[in-house]
Amino acid sequence: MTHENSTPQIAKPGDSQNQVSARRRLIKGSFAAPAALTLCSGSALAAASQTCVQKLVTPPGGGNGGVDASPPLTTTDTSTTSFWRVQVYQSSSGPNNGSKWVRGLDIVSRQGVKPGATLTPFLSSNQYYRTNPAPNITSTNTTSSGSDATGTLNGTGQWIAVRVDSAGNIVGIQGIAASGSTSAMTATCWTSFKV
Amino acid sequence: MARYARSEGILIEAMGHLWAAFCPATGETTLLNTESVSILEVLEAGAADEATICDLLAEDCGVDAATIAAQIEGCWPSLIEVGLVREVRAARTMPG
Repeated sequence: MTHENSTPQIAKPGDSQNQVSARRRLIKGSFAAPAALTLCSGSALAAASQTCVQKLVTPPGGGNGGVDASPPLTTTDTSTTSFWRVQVYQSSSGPNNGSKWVRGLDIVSRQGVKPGATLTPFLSSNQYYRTNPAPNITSTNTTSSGSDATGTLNGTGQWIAVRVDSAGNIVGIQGIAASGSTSAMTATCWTSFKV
Repeated sequence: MARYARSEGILIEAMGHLWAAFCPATGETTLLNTESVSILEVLEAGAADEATICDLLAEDCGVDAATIAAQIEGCWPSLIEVGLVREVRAARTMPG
């Protein structure tokens, strides 16, 4: 036989009737060990949330070729921090078959402009940046000859975050050759995502 | 014997079979089982030592006080850590 109430009651300070509700809910003949579990703070959950990526990079209106359509720096953009992503392509031929690359064309198209400043992305439009394996190899062509050739590239459906410095230049790939002084994303949940 | 008191301003609300307790001193919300809240309810009347708490809870649930004492003996650090309970130390008397 139990002494448990079927309906939970709200205990309010100063309400003597509700103050005893927990004691009345004790089960007759047994007494479990008291337990106290502190709930996680909201900030910790937000930092670990995978929806963080969606909030940061999902563009209203969809993608723009291989690049998402989140707004680049423009003459009307006065924000100091931007988070962008570009698509990752995979080689299906040549000496680097299977390797993954970022296209300079995507980087340049994301660079945008900023009033009063000349912005220079780390890749030119005809260059390609290998992200995996052995990152930091830059190719200037997509042919299958040469050790830095990309071969034929195909979209992977994968994305990678790019680093933006305080001036607005796209200076690299997040997680590769990262520099705290040039990354605008080191303090965000982006940093939990690797190539 | 150590005496324990319930911290001031604690808000407790039933959540199904568990309880949520908010401690304004720490700003944290803690999930408690019924046994923990029962201890807090006993302490709402004022600070009490462990024996008194066990006796009152024994009347509530029909378990002997010694068994309850064994169960709650280890709960004090966690209840104190989350700010729901504080230990009351007896005032020292100066030798005359």
